[in-house]
Amino acid sequence: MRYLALVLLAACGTPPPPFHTDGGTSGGSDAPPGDAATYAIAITANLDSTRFVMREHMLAAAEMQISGEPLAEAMGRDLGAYSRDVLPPDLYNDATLGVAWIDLPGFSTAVESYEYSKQPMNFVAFESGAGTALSHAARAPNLATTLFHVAQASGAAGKFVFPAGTYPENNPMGNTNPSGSGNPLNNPLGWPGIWPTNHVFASFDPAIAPTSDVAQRCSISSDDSPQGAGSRELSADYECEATTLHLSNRAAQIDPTITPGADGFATWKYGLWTINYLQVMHDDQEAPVLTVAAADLAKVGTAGFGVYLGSSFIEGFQAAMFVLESDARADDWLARLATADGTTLSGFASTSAALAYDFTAPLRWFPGRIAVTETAGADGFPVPAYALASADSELLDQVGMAMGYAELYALTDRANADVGGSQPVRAYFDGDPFAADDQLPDGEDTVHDRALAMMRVAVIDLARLHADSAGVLVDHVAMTGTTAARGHTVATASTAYTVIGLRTVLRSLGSQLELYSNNTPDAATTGPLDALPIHDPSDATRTFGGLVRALVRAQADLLYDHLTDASGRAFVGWNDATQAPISNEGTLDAHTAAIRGLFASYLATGDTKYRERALAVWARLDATFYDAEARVYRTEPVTADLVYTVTYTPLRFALLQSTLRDMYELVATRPGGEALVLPLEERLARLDKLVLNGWDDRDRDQKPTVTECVRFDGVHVALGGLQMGERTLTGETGRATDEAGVGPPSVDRDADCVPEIDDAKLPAALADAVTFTVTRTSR
Amino acid sequence: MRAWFAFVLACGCSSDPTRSPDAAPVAPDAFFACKATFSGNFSEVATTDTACASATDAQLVVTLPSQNLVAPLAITLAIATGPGDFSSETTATWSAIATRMIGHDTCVLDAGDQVVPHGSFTLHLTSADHGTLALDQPVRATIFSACGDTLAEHLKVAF
Repeated sequence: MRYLALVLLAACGTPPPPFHTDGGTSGGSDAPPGDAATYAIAITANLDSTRFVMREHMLAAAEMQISGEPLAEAMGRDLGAYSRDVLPPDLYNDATLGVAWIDLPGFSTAVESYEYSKQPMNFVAFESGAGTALSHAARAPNLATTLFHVAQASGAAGKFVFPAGTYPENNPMGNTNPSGSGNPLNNPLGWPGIWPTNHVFASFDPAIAPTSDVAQRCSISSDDSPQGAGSRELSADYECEATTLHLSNRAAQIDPTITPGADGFATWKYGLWTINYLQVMHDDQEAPVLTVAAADLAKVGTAGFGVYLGSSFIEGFQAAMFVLESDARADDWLARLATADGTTLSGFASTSAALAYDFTAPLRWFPGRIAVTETAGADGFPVPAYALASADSELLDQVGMAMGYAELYALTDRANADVGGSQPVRAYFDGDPFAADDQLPDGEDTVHDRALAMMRVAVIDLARLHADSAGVLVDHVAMTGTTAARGHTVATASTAYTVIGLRTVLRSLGSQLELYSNNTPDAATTGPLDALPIHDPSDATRTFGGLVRALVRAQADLLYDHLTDASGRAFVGWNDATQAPISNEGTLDAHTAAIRGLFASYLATGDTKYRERALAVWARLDATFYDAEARVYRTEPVTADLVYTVTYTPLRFALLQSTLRDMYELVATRPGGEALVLPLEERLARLDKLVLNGWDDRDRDQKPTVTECVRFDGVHVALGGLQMGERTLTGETGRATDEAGVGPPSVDRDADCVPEIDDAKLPAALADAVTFTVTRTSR
Repeated sequence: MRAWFAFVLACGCSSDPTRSPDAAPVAPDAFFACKATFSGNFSEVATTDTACASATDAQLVVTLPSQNLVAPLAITLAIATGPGDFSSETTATWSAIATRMIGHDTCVLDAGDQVVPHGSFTLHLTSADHGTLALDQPVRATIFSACGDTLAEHLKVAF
């Protein structure tokens, strides 16, 4: 009644327009708190496991990248309208409207999902030591020399990278080190504290103890915040020196095992980000340089030319390191870490032999697990030794290898106009820093040919080991010597990522793979591997590309015919022996995986039946698993339970986020889909903010308060959600007054529920599992 | 509740220039030139005795005052003369602009081809300036503002 009176007074306070009205009800600050629902809903969360599981984390990180800046751009946002450090966060400086407004969908995608996805990759590639040492890889001799050379070519030298064993003072920008607090002993390779990895470990405990010091007056920069534009972001010292980002007790924290899946999905992620970093070159102020005269391309990155490799000092340097690391591990897998007998590690005689690998060659494959033992190295980095731990083959592992090296191959393919054919990329593969290739699959000592060989071996072995007579690929193959015992089952998520991975192979070999714009049906293409016969016993005329297309179609049909039905129901997996679903249980993951796989099937084949089925599964997913009151996707069908829990993992999050992204990009932005735009934006924002950040916007005011953080220490520290910590690029610059760099260290500077990593004692990475508890209480 | 509230409003405010102070309550089947139903961010049903739409050869303009908005909602759609069916997917230039104040909080309800998110509309014209319009507008909370639980406004207009 009080509320009604207020509305009435408001209505009478000014002359009303010539309208009759039955009045108004409104949300907002003059409305009763909450809505009119019977129940109040509270969400809390518990951190189940911090363990960093590489394959799933890298898969999720790649999906989060694609659901980052490119999704925000698909939403029509201008990426330049976001700041990574201005407070409060979440603002979109809308030049069209002339106001800054709170944009949770845009900020949570363009900034948070995107930058969150980058940091775990950097953590394993450069910072933590969660892999074998690149300095002892066969392809990385004289690593310190190589590292400084690429730093000179990217402009990072003298700012972030110094001659090994030195730590200069009063540098002009970057790691300025004004007081000489940097210790030269912490700089064995050039970037202080850097710990470059070759193979990444299957899993590890990510506990770290980052410094909260700002003594080095570190300011990192990127193409989003270039040094020269005056927007450098003063940061905690760990951004410029990685020493305190090393695993606190490495030997006790790592699972010293490498797998094709961990390396493969890490390579996919490295490749995605490298392509991103090589879209432009830059000048000495980090302003973008799109092109140079053709005759000058070889001069890019050389002294005095003024144009540097990559999109920024740091990014150009890191891109070269990603290529170096990905190539080093490919060299290992091809030359030393495959097996031909199931008991010992060996390799192909040459890259040419790997490129020629076919159905008639003696079986050789990438084994499922390789144990690593380490001894102390003279350079301070451990020397790895490798031994076969399991010869079994896993579907998702081999798919990861094929997809990862498809992404890397695109960088070396000059016929790919937007990637390998572009000037910023060609400048890397013209002989310096990486060898040029004649563009033929002929076994040269190049990234190009090794990437092709990796795809070749992975795909041929998928067909030889994992496929039934119809081409359906099963998850697990047990190897006894060279005798393969195919398993009988495949999970829907595996099938979905098989389609996605093989489509990536096809697009890459066909010179069509782009960084993000892969949202239209593919054209049939040939590729360089088609020239090398595969001798498929089921079809003597089949080319390599034909084999990949046949495998795509077989998995697509499995998704359509057996893993989903016309009602939109999706099953968790398929038993190839019984020719029946693994279970009739309905799960969120089955539905999201099916949607992701069906959309990829549509794009790979152009057959709209897969798209229509994806929409049917979406309709069921939304009707069955979405708790509209709590705004939470449950893992099982929604019930009237007053209290329930839902556990999110990196894979579950990635499947759901990418489902929402696909619905946005492939449906909402297409004719007839406009009505989905606003609801999908709201769903994406809610998912990112609740599950990643751990922020339950309970009062729906779009402004986080510490009591809305679902994990809270009860005193003053929010503990994040699936995202365990954050750093400069998402708002934690170490101090409340970022440019001044004074005052006490901040804990959650941007008050978004995710703490800074020095307080979390954990990296900016995803937890392995977080369980949310949703509680309804009567009002 | 709504009928009762309309009665109170109609009786209590007596400043409707189109009706006498002791005019009878609005009957459900009364004639209106325009009837606008707002829902989502705020709810309101507004009607007018005079036309709210005007058409030229190149555009349709719909103006809808609302008790919840600072100024009338101004909808401009660059479309050919009706009758016909139109939508935001087939209209290159369009806008729907309004501002809502909740206390000191400012909420921007702009939709159109020049803003993001765009929002959307569907329009069915039975003649040049008569028909029905359905419009979805995003509601943007400006910095430090809170604009309610639902950040979309759905409008249906019969004119």
